[in-house]
Amino acid sequence: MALEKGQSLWSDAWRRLKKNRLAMLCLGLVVLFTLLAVYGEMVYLYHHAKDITPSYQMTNLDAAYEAPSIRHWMGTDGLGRDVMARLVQGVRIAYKVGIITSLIAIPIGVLLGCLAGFFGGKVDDFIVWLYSTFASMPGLLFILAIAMVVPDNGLLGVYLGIGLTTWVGLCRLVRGEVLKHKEQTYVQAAKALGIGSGRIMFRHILPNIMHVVIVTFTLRFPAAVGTEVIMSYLGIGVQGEPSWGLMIDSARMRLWQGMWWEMTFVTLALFLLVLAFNLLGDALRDALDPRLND
Amino acid sequence: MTEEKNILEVQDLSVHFGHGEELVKAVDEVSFTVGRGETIALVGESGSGKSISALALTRLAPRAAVYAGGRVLFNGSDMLLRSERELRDIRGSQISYIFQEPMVSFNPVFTIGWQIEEAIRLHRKDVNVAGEIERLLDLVQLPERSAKAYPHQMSGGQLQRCMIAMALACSPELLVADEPTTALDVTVQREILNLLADLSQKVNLSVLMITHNFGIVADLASRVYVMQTGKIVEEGGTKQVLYEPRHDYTKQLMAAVPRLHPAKN
Amino acid sequence: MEKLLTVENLNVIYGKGKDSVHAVKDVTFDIAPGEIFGLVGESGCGKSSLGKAIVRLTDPASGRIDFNGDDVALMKGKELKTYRQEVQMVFQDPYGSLNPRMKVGNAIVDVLDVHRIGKDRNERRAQVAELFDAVGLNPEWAWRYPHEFSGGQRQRICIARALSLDPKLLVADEPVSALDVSVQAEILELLEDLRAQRQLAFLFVSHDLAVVRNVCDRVAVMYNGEVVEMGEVGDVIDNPQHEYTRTLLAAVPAF
Repeated sequence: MALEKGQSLWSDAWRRLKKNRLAMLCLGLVVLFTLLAVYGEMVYLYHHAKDITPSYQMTNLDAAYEAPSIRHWMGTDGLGRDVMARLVQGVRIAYKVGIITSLIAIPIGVLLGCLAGFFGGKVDDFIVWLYSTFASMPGLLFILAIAMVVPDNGLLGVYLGIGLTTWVGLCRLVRGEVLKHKEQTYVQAAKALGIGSGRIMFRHILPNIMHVVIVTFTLRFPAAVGTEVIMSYLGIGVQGEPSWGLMIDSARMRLWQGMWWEMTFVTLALFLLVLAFNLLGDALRDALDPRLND
Repeated sequence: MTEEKNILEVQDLSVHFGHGEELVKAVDEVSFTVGRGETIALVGESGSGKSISALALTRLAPRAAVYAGGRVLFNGSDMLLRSERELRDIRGSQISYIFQEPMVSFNPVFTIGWQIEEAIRLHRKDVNVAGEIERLLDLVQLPERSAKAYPHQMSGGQLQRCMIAMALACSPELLVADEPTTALDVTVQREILNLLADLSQKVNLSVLMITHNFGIVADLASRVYVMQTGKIVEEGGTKQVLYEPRHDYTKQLMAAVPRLHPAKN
Repeated sequence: MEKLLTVENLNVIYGKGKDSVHAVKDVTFDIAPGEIFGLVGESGCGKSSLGKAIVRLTDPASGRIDFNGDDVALMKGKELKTYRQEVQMVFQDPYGSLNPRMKVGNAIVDVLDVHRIGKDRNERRAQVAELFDAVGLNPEWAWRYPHEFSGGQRQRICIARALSLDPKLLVADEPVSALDVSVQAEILELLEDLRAQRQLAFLFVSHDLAVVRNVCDRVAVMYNGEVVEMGEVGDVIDNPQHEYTRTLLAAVPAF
């Protein structure tokens, strides 16, 4: 007991999370996917630097539509490319889209939501006006506009497009929660003790509304992958790279001919990744609530 | 039905939560009686089991509760053996409850009159509803126009009067009042206490008062039961228990109660 | 007699124009060092607003709050932060006034951090242990979360946190209203002890006349934002002069 002295909420949460087997399994899965993504990126960079066509892009019509075998564990696609290799590349893109857009959207949403809820008045009016403006524009159109403007005709446009349009929902939620917590006595007490506004917002209130942020993150991950699929389909963003969206799209056409493997493995990978993030998010939310434990 | 002397007789009532090592005996072999037209009080601190005892009378205790033993004889018949359907008919019509928070006990989107009307229609058919609402509001000393008001337009004291009007809608024989004035100001509390005393005379109402306030006990109750951790530790006439407590716990409590005029005691 | 706090013609007004509420009207009183000054009244009489104005959680509309010779009614920023070391507050709801996601000891360390009291974290932790001891709690309990404590223990923690800045005046807003009688008696005893040991003065805001009678030296009765009667607590309660005070006293169910 004495050893626990001064431990923060986060180290406590980690200690509790470690006791949750399912959560640890999910964490393992997330780590595995992350390693695959890193590996995928390295393979991509290597080939890109040497300017050679990587194997997962190499067309081999003799080997098209091969069912899973020892040589190709997950079979091959219509152009004879190995599905597993492409799947790994897909992880890389899904990760980038899911995580980088979150890294853009979540801080914006949390920061603006906190400011609006805590200070109220003119600050609140401005932020509400800002997100109302963002929310009133059709999301896809806005993403397309941003993607067009960004010079690099690649993923950067997608990141910025998705990232800069999807903070609105989180911002609304955070603002509402902060408004609720601001009235609580513990915040009043903190003010009376001479604690500054920034510290109250981020050290005192934020840990109490962290569950909103975590749940938002787990929900937006699959949504971001979905948006990337649509954008790839529209010809913006991912070009020629094997993203999961493109893979599902091409596999869809062959499914009725009995070519089940590409569709199966890609959706399975997507399913596992989203499930792992969701369960881990739930477990983390619970671990962060000291009242639910010990 | 034979006229019993006591309207309510609770015998060795036990209500438990959980099981095994985590068993909590919230109410532990509690016995008390309420005579016809009598007002008695169940006092105790939080967690003493007084509220659970009151709720258990019509099996209203939280879902997890286990009625581990004893009998609740209301007019001679055991409430614990009644079906849920029968109990629903009894609640409100023969045994009514009022609670601590009048402000949250009303639905904010309906008028007071509408909500009293609903209470009347639940248990009684073929009555002149408008006349009844008028009679009930008069009984709790509220003007007739209160029926058209919405809950937010009334004060806490007025709302508690409305709660009492609803509770009396079906002329119950027993009113269970669980901390009815705790959320109210002293002057308003005084009015509600006077009203309750008045009503028990006027309509021969029996009242079971649940409270932690010994002043209220002294004011209203003829007899008092003191509860501590699920057990009744002392019972007797109000004067005797308050001025010459016998049990250690009651003595401690009496010593802890701040007195308005310390010198006189 | 020497004064710690002098309040002169203080007004608190919420809102503007037609919808404004004049919560505190021209209130004048003073508190001496080590005195327990009671403020009684019913809900909405302005007693809490007055308490909050004195710790500057609400801004007064006009008037003077003189604390040790400084006018604090209009203080801002850094000065206000210094003032907050001198005047602290304890709230009614011991369940809501502690952050549920912060260990109670850390909540106190946080305050010490902000005011740069103590050399480092270890020294601050040692101070937390001392404070826990001072309010009658086991210092080992400092590294637990609020939900692990009872209402009375939480109120002790809140008092310890308020004491962490070594204030001269504690505004206690209904500090025992949410507690059982036996716990209430313990907390009142603690306040008396603190007054004796630290020469701490209290503004004791309460609706409970019996409690006020038992702990306060002087009392002010508030009604509709105004102080209608003020004096030694025994005089006011045994021999009330104002009509409202009499009504209030007659309403208390006592035995």
